[in-house]
Amino acid sequence: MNPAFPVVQFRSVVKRYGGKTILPGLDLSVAEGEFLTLLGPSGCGKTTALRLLAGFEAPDAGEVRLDGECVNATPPNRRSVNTVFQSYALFPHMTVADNVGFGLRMKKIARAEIDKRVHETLELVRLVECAARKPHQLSGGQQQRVALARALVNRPRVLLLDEPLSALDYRLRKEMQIELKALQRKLGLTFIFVTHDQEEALSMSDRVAVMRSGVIQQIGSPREIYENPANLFVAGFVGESNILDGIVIGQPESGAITVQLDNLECVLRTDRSFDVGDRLHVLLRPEDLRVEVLPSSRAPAGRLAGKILEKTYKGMTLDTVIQLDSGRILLASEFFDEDDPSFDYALGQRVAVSWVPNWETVLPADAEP
Amino acid sequence: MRNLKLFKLGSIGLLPLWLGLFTLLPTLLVAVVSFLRRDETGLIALAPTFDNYARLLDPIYLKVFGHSLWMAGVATLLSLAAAYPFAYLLSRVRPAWRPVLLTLVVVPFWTNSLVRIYAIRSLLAAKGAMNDVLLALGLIHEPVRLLYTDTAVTLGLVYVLLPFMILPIYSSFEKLDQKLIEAASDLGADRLDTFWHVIVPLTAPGIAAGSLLVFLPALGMFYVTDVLGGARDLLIGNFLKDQFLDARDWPFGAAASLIIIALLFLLLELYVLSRRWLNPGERLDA
Amino acid sequence: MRSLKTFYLWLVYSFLYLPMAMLAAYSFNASKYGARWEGPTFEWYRDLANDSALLEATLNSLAVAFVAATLSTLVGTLGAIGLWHYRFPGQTFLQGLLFVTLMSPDIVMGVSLLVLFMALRVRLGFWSLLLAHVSFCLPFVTVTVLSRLNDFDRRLIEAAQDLGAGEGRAVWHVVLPLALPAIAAGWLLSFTLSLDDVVVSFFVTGPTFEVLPLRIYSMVRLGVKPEVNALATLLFIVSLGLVSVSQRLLRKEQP
Repeated sequence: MNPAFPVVQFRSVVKRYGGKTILPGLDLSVAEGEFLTLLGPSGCGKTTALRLLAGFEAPDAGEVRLDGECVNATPPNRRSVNTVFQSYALFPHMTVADNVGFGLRMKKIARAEIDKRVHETLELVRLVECAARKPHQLSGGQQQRVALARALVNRPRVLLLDEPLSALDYRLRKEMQIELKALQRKLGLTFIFVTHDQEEALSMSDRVAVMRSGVIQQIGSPREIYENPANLFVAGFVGESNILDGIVIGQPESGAITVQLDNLECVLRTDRSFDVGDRLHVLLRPEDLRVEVLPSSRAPAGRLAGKILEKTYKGMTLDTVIQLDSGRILLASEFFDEDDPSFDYALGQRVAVSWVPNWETVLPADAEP
Repeated sequence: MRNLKLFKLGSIGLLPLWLGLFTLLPTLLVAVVSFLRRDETGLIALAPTFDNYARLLDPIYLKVFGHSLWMAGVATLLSLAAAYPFAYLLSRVRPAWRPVLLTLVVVPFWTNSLVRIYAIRSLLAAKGAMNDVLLALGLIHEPVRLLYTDTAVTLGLVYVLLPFMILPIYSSFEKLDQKLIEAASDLGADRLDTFWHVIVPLTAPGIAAGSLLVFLPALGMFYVTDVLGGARDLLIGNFLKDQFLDARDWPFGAAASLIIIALLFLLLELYVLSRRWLNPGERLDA
Repeated sequence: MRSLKTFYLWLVYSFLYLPMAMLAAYSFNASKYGARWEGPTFEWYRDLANDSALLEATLNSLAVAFVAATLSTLVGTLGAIGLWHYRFPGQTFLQGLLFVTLMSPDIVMGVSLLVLFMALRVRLGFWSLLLAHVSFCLPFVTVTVLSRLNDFDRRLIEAAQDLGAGEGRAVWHVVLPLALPAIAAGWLLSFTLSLDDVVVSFFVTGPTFEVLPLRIYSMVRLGVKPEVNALATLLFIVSLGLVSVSQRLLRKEQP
């Protein structure tokens, strides 16, 4: 099979629930072997998209395609996709082995073959010794792995994961993230993962689709999403951002603009085209900001000035809240310097804020979704 | 695939069909009959009238209704007074014992109520155990009449219906989070405050459900008065039985029956409203 | 304080059980009347066994109870699955109707069904009794099964479908096994309700078909009789057995 050929395609898929439009027209392609994450706040339509693909819901318009074939009318039991449910939905009256073998039994596969594949899959998730137990005798993490095994054993074309880690505690969640990613590489399976946790999305996925109100705001590699957010929503949802409002006052050369930003006049590079007088936003990640102590109360040229309002010790970093002279609040996050262990600020201290040129993201003011 | 359609149709359609045919339709028929006239030959004559309702206003019948409501009300209050502390204590019993003790409350609920009323009768009979005990204690010097009194009927109603009061109250005590009581005392409430402001409101759904389950049947249990009472038309149930089976005045009986149905709806509405008021956002399952 | 609490629990249990215990004791008492003990006897049980009218009424009751429990369990279980699994118009109304039927006093049901059977020209006897008994058992079964199903994640059906089970097989392999304890308990409850019912049966049965509770009713009205003591004791033992089975079935924990 051609690896670039999309396994899953959504073509202008519309879904409404009683007058409320959840998906106004979703277009999405997922390639063979890809780990794609749908990321967004609750109610953004990401779970609905997953349920449409699993077959629990039917689209009101458009097409859901699996291996190039429209599956709009195919019931869930005839689709070669399997789901790991958020609540796991393990059958409480069956043992772990019977849970994992359920899908194979439904396909009327020979008993010996079922036993063999169930055993292999339980080995894969390291649960062989729990085969005879009932779900309620397992820990949360074990239940999660049973749910995973129960889906994987059927060798689905696509594995759908609906916030599968949200019920686990922090440490276990981290471990499972690594385990899931390793499993996906090993099996070469296509994973579609739904989450509202941006950290989870960035650390596991090949591609992330950020959704809001049923519309994909941006789709791309975790790096692209983080470093070049397409709009304020993506910037705000993925990681923390400082947003400064500016106005274009000149165009010294092509690909560069002079901007009045807060009290500061500066030259920014951008691929987007702007006219003089256009309003824009400049996004700065807290970890990209440089903070320097100012000797006097005079504002230095070429830098934003303000005072320290709040500081938080975070172990690896020192996070500060800075109020600029214009009243605007900025967040900065600086790594501790090995050479200067006493690195610290006093509250109320005058500081100047700058950043490495070209690390900012420039968005037109009307890009607000 | 065809079987599945059939299954879906059956699981959605059969229950409403049955309830429609054997609950809704008969109730509508009773409503219709209550506005018709009695016919000496064929039970009912197709002539509309409000007479039956007007007749219910006769002091004789008003007295029957009043008496029945009074008896049911007293039985409900007595059951509540006995059941509330009992349910509370039961919910505090060691968990290992609870299933057995709870089963012991359920057994009477499953036992033929006629048989249980009969047990009360033989207890209260002139030569029964109660008189023997009272004589032995020297409280009385010759057997007294305990049967055929209002007290006997009330006792019978409480005896038969007590488990219906205990079970819902117990289940609301079981759901009551012990932490809420701790929180109340942490916030400075004394035992009485905690009782009135935390425990009672949180167990109110159980109280309301139990009261309904005692009050409504108590109106109709004609065999309790037949076995323990002796006076006719003591409960609405006896009145209905007479109208339908002895006097054979169906329209009149139907009117009385419709009054009970109206009362049923009124009380259920109050019950649902009170639960919604106490627990906004809760979904009420049947 | 502690002993006071225990005392109160004992007091209520005595109230519930002493009268029944006394009946049981009387049933072995050779004295025909009164409470004085005159030596043990099985005479009253022998009388019971020889009372052919009573035996016939018992058989009639068992037949009605068995068929009514089975029918109401079938319809009620289907209905509960329908209410749990599907969304359909009028669902709230149906739940409301179920609730009202559950709460409505027997006397109202008896009167209404009598009017219905007369209007439909149904002869009063086995069939009218059966239809009536199914009608008052039905809400109990539905509610018992529905409340058990409501304890489970609705996604279980989706999970079964996702793993290749059609809707029918999902119901067969997942919903039915999960609901089974409640279905069995519902059957037992219906069986008992049907055996115990006096009020509804009084209105809807005919002279040709006598059932046990009505037979007892006519015996009891005439006064205290030692055979009734024996019969009451037997019925009480039956209830005790049925309740123990049903309580075991409805335990929350999975086996």
